[in-house]
Amino acid sequence: MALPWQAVRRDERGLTWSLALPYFLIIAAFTLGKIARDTFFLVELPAAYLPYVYIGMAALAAVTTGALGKLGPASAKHRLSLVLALTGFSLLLFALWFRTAGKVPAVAFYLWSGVYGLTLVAEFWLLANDRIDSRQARRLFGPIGAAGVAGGLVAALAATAIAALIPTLVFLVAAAALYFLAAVLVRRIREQPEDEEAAPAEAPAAGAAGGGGLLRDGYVRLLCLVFLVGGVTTGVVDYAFKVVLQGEVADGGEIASVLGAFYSVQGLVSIVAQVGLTGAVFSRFGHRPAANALPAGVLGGGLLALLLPAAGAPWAVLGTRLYDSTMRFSMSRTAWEFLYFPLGDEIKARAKRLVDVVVNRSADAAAGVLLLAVNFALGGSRRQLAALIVVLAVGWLALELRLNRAYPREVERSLRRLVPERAEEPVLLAQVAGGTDLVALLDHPDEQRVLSAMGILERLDRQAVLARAPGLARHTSAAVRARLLAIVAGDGRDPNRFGLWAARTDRELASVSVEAASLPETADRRVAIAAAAGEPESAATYRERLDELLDDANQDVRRTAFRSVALSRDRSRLPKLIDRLTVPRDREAVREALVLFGKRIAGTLGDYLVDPNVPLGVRQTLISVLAEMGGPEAVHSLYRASRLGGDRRVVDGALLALLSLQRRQPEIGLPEELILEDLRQEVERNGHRLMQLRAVREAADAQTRGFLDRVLRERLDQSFRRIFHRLALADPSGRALAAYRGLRSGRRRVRAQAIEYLDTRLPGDLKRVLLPLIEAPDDAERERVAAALFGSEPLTLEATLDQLLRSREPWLQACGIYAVGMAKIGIQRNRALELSRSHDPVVRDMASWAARRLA
Amino acid sequence: MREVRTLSVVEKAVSLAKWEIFEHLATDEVAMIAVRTGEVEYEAGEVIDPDGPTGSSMHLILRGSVQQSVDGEPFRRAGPNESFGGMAVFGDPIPGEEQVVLEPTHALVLSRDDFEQAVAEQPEFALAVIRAMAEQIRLRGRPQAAISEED
Repeated sequence: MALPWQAVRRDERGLTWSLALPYFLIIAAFTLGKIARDTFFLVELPAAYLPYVYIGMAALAAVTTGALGKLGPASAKHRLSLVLALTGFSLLLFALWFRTAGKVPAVAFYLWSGVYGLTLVAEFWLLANDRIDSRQARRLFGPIGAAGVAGGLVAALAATAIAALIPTLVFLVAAAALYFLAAVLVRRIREQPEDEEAAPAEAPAAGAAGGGGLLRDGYVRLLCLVFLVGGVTTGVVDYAFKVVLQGEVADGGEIASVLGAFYSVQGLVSIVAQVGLTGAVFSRFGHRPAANALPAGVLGGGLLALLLPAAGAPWAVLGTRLYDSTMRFSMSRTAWEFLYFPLGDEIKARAKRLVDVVVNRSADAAAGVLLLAVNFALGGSRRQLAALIVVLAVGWLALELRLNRAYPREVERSLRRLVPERAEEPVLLAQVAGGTDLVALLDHPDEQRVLSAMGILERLDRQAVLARAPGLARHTSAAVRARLLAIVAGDGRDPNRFGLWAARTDRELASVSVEAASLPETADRRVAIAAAAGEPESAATYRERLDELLDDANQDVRRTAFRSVALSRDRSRLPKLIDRLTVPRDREAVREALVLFGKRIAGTLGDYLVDPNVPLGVRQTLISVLAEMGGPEAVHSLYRASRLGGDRRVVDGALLALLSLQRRQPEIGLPEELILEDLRQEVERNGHRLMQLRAVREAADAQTRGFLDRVLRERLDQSFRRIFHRLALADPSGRALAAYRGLRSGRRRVRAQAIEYLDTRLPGDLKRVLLPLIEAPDDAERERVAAALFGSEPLTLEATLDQLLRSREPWLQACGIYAVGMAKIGIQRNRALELSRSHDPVVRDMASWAARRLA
Repeated sequence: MREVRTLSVVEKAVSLAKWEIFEHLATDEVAMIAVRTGEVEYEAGEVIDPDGPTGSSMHLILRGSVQQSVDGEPFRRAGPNESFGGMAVFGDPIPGEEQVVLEPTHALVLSRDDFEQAVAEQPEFALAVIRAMAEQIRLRGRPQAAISEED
């Protein structure tokens, strides 16, 4: 069984102790005060008066919290130490007052204890929230919470042992002393180091007055509702417990002793729950199911109290109260603290004070009113109280379940707030260019500008081009006219309708349509012939000339011919077209033509994308073609490339293109199961890369070692980025990309929130392997984690080089050959030389180099 | 000046990767530049001819050193792991600029055509070059004494 403090890292131990010790003292003092409070009250007054006290506590809490909100120091540390000291003094004053005994101080102290107890705990956890981020919280809140539970247990055991020997008011003096000591320890906590995150200045603390503003936030409203209903339920459970207690025990010393024993058992059970259960439940199920366990258990206890016979019902009430208080002091307490992490700094403190003090006390008041109503209307029997507990617990559980759904959304919202939106993928020209500006460009005399505008508008707004057809038909550039002809024909319209043939300057085009062969062989004429070849009804003689025109010396002719191949849907010329992507001067024109070809070639382009024999530059261009083309076929081809692309630039490019398409065409879905499967493989690759990184340190040659280290680190970074790109495909909200930026931001809180997002979004098996890798504090720990997760045996240098030589990535193969050659590792010689038959020129070059070096 | 062929692509990439200019490029992107580079050796005292085969090339020194001057005024001494001639790939040489080889020098060279191709295919490379150029422009505006002190 993993103990909570075993998860605490070495560099976090000081922080943990600095918070755990004061919390131990605060809860110990609170427990002593509570025993004194209940004893004084139950000795002096019947339990039936408690509902009135609950209402009084709520009123007092509202007033006091408002005052505390305006209280002095803004720093959480100074505020807590001040409140601790003031509380200590107040207890000494009450101890003096109790020397005269009586009902008034008993009621006054009950009211006051209800305020200071919650205030101190709230202020303490605000301090803890300030010093600890949401990821550290998973490791540190356990031990800190355990210290609090231990404090309660020690105080309860001490009270049980000495209750019969000393006056109850001594408990108050002891509690005051503990508060003073805690105040001193809190003041000694080191200040938060200023880091680059420069959180926005926290808004002035607000108490009850500020609650109205806070309640406009839906998440805070839900929090308040959950704690209100939970608090009312607990108030009724507590009342039922005290009714049972007063019914069974009458003497004051005996009540203090029984309460001491009860709190001792509560402390013992809490510490077992905190030490043995909390960590395991949090890591296996997360903090939300842990929080749901409390209302579920109370519901079960309420049902037992309702259904058991009279002899057993008190035990059910006792058990329910024990379960409720145990969970509240251990697992639930810790789980609830997570709920505040997604809130912005400006409202977190206010929301926490509102919930912890005002809402909780209001819950007591509401419980009081409810109990008074039940007592007056129905008599308030134990069975009626049990029924009330059941009804309230059902409502509480329903709200907790609603909170389960709201929390991940709030984490995402917080991530969006912390990491502003930014386009992650290259934006295509067509997306950037404003349509209006492009239309204006159609009137420009410069041929290149007009052609560019036509190229983009043809895909975005073909009608805009057609509307300008009469003007374009008279353009001085034959290329512009030819392109217009292609667009008009491609739209299935009659060119004469636009006056294209009749236009005075279109003599060549007109001739093409009538008698092309009779004109002199000018570039314009060849452009016109190439354009005519793209028409659906063009003569075979024009099409036959396309091969020759594709190789024409004139760029306009070639460009028009490329387009005509696309418009004529001539797949037989597709390989030639793709081959021309290797010619830099034709690349853009061919790219446009391929886009024009449309989705019918998306599958073929996909085949090219995953073919390692196709040059990298061509594959990269094909990615942009498919991205611009869009549609399910293009998505399928790109997705295939993102899995089987081989070269990481193809894989990365395909993923970016998919993300771009996903934004533009959200209706095209991707299979989440497949994405998660790829994600698993990516994470595993990342882990293996870490182990390789450790192995390359064995390389004797410093230059080889340094270079391989750089190569593998790059691969790690690239793989890490890919993990988030793949996750973004499964979660199109954009939060995955924001999480990636958050993790790389170097800002502690943003990073923690990004990991929290992953924790809420990833399936359990992925979470268990990815999060430890991300959260490891340094390389050594990350490598250790990777070794534990993906393979117990450390890799040797030789095994690593063998893996590089067998990699699907040519660059890693080349680097592997380099390392083998430099280190003259004979055993890998044959494998390295085999690669001389590789399709990749760099790998072949390296294989020849290695052959010479190892000869 | 004589062209040589002593290094493999990865060896070139290993050398190139050491330059500050390439620190933001992935090694496989550096390799794409390496594929395009040639190797030259210069004798000590040789003046690099701006109209010669490497006159409009970017040089990346592996071994040796070159003194750069404008109108006879030295402004920079480029040594191992440093580049020179970057401006030449952008157009005509700067009037009065001269590169004198101070000691036997072995360098990788990237011609204007290959440079343009590399820029077209790898925008990251263009950024890296712009950074290096900005540094050179900054140095040109400073007196030699200050540069020597810095060295």
